[in-house]
Amino acid sequence: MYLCAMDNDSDILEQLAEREYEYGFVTDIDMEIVPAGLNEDTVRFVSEKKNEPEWLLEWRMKGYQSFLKQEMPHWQNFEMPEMDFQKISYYAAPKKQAKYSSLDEVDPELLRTFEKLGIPVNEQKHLAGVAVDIVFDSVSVTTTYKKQLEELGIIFCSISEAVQNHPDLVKKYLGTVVPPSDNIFASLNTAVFTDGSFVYIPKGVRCPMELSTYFRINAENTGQFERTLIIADEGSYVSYLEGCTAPMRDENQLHAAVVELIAMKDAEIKYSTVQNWYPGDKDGKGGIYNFVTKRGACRGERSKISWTQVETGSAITWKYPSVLLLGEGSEGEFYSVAVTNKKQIADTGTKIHHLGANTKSRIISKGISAGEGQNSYRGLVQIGPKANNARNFTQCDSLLIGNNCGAHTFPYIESKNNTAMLEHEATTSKIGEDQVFYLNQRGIDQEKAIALIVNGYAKEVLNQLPMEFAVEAQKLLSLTLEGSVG
Amino acid sequence: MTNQVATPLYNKLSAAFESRNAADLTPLREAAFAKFKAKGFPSVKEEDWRFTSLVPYLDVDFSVTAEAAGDAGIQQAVDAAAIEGLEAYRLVVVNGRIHSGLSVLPEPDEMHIGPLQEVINTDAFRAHFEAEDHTGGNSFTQLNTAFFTDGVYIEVPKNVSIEKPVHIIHVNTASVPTLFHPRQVIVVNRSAGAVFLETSVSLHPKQAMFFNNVLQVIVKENGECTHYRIQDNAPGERWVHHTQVTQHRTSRYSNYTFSLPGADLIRNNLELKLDGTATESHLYGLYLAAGNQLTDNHTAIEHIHPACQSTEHYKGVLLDNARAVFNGKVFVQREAQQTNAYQQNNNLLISDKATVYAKPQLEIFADDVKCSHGCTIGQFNNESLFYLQSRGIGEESARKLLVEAFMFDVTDKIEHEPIREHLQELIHQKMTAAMAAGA
Repeated sequence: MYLCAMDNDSDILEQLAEREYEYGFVTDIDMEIVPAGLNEDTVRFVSEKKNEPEWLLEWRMKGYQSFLKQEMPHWQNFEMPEMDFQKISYYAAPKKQAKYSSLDEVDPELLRTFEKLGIPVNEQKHLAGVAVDIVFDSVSVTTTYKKQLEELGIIFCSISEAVQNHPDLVKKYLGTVVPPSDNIFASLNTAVFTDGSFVYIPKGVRCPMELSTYFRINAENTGQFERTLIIADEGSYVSYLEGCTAPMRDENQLHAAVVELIAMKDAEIKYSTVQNWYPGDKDGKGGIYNFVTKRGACRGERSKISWTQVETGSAITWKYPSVLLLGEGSEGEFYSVAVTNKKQIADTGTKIHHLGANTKSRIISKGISAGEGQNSYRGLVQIGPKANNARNFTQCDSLLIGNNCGAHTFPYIESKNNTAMLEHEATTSKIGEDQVFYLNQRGIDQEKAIALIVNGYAKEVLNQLPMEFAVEAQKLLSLTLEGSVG
Repeated sequence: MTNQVATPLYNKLSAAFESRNAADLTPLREAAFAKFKAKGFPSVKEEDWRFTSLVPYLDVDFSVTAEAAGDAGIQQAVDAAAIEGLEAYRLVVVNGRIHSGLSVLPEPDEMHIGPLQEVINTDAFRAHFEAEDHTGGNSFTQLNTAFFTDGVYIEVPKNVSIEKPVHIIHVNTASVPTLFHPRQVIVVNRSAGAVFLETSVSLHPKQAMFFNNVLQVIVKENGECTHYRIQDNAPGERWVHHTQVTQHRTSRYSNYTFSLPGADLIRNNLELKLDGTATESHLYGLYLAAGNQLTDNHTAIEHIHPACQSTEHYKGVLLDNARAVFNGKVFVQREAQQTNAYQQNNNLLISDKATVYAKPQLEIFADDVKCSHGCTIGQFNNESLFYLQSRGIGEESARKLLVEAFMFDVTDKIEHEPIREHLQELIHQKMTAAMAAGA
């Protein structure tokens, strides 16, 4: 099963048409759009459009107020692009419609990419915005799954739906992990988020399938300011997939999503991301800025949160999926592969706060820099005074391909407890010439050899992905690095 | 200027700078002071000072002008500072000025040692001195450049290699809280070699003293310099050391920094600029911190040219309420292919109230490099402790033994036997004292 959020089907082609091909595709999207600009009225408008209760509007206002108070951060390891928040339109609801009657009309470049990723024809059509035939009826597939989930008491819907149907749950948990004033982008998201996912797994339920935005109906336009809230109640388990291995083209340049995870006693949440947004042209122009706030709280004893990310797209990826280990014996994990090619920039890593006793964490980060890419690992492991016997292991490796790229590591390690054990190790090296030579010798060409080595290097992280994802992610790595050698 | 850290002191310095009557290096000093004035003392908002708030350490009515030094007590202090069994030259520096009467120096053709004032107007010196960035990012260095009154200038002529270490004993005679700006410059010329050992002693311990020390070391082509610094300071003292090292082609530089309990604050900035190919650098550090001490080591190594090697190993043991900060930066510029950079930092937290902030940092722009860093924070290995105890060694002795073993990785690297023994003895004493106080 190919797993993907296809919220921006039409945008994919629109982008492509505008940017690389000037054949003059005309995309005629029926849109309900609010004029660009951000003020209290915009926030009210968004809230009203979504028919939200008073408390949510107030909460949005809190976010807006703290957004006004904050300055842009300046500690990051890249030059911040100029950003005009007044030039963004904060509400646009495109109406879905088929753009093409057959695949022949679709841009061949896009098809070539799909083929390399091994995406089935029907899904290719869906992704590219071609009218989907009867055989492939995503709605009915979704409905089957929905029914199955409902029987178990699992709530999986868009966050706007959840606000209408489960207001108590949303009110209880929303913003408790990432408060409205957390950082400037989170505040902005709080003020103007338009949609996102909501998941609630009841006590003792093990979610029988990987949840993905793919199965969610009414999932339009969640792109730019997405808000995800996942709650795993006592003893439950859920694996959630975000993103898509297929190239996602999107006209919104700034993506400031917020993801909140809450794990109660003995619960486990596994959150996997594959991100392959538009990285910009050769000079890095026009790519997506992926500035996302992701944080999970292990509230109960022996709870566990695991982040896995494969970041290959975006002009700038800037995020630190974090875990707050509050419950005794809780566990946090972070597995990451970040690839930067051309002029891409990644400043990513994790923050793990050990607050409860006997908490454990494991961080494996693999950075790959090629072309003129700059890759930074920035991490924080903090041991609080009450976190007796806390344990952390961190490994961050960097691989450099070519001599115009850069790899940087900024790990912060802080311990206030003498029973804690922390280990951190990092290495930086280039692709071994002898390894490449060995593979060449056996008839494997340069490009495939590099792909093989890179996949081997990233294996520890890729293994953490759900299987279908892992296979695609491997192909994606090779594809991203295409042309970076030789 | 608003929101200034230590406003009274800042104002005092401004007034003192205006009314000074030094005529040397005026443009340089003025530029440096202007920079300091604009920024003031660093606050925790600056990344490099995030964990080291200077507020409690600067909040004293420091005198900004050193009082005249009498000779009383210096002789005894200097004799006490000598290291047993170490055959060494002796350079006594009292309040930043060379005391030739008590010094035992090498012949002038072996090594030139004199006041900075003497050479400050020579072209050769200026070339060295001005090559450094005096107005760069560091407020303390700027302040030192603006205020240093006299300093020490050491130059080893080319092709001269002196085996015998030069023991530099800094003596502080002030009896009231004072802010000092000592300055030293060491130049090791082509194919020359020298060993330096720095220690310090205060005649009036338990006074709040602030030392803003700056040392510049230049090691020229194929030169070799070994530099030990033992920071066994008196309570009440606050030290900010800035050590700026420039290495030319195929030169070797080894730095050993040992910080022991005593001073309230020790902040070491050690910056290496590898300005030539195929250099070799070794940075070894030990920090044993106790009481309410804050020990902060910031090192930065900049690889600019190909085939340079650097190794760095810092180990720390924390007792009581002590806090330690470690930041090790390694930069590898685009041209610096075949760089080999290794860094390790290990911390042992003995007390449950001690804190460690570690931040190893690699910034790499070249691909054909081998760079790695490792960092650990942990406690005693209970099994080792049990093993020793089961063999009849008391818990306290066993703990001391384990600490000494932990530090052995670094102490073992000391090439000069008497210095190693002296240091091991110091560690033993300090551990015993700290454990007795803690019990």
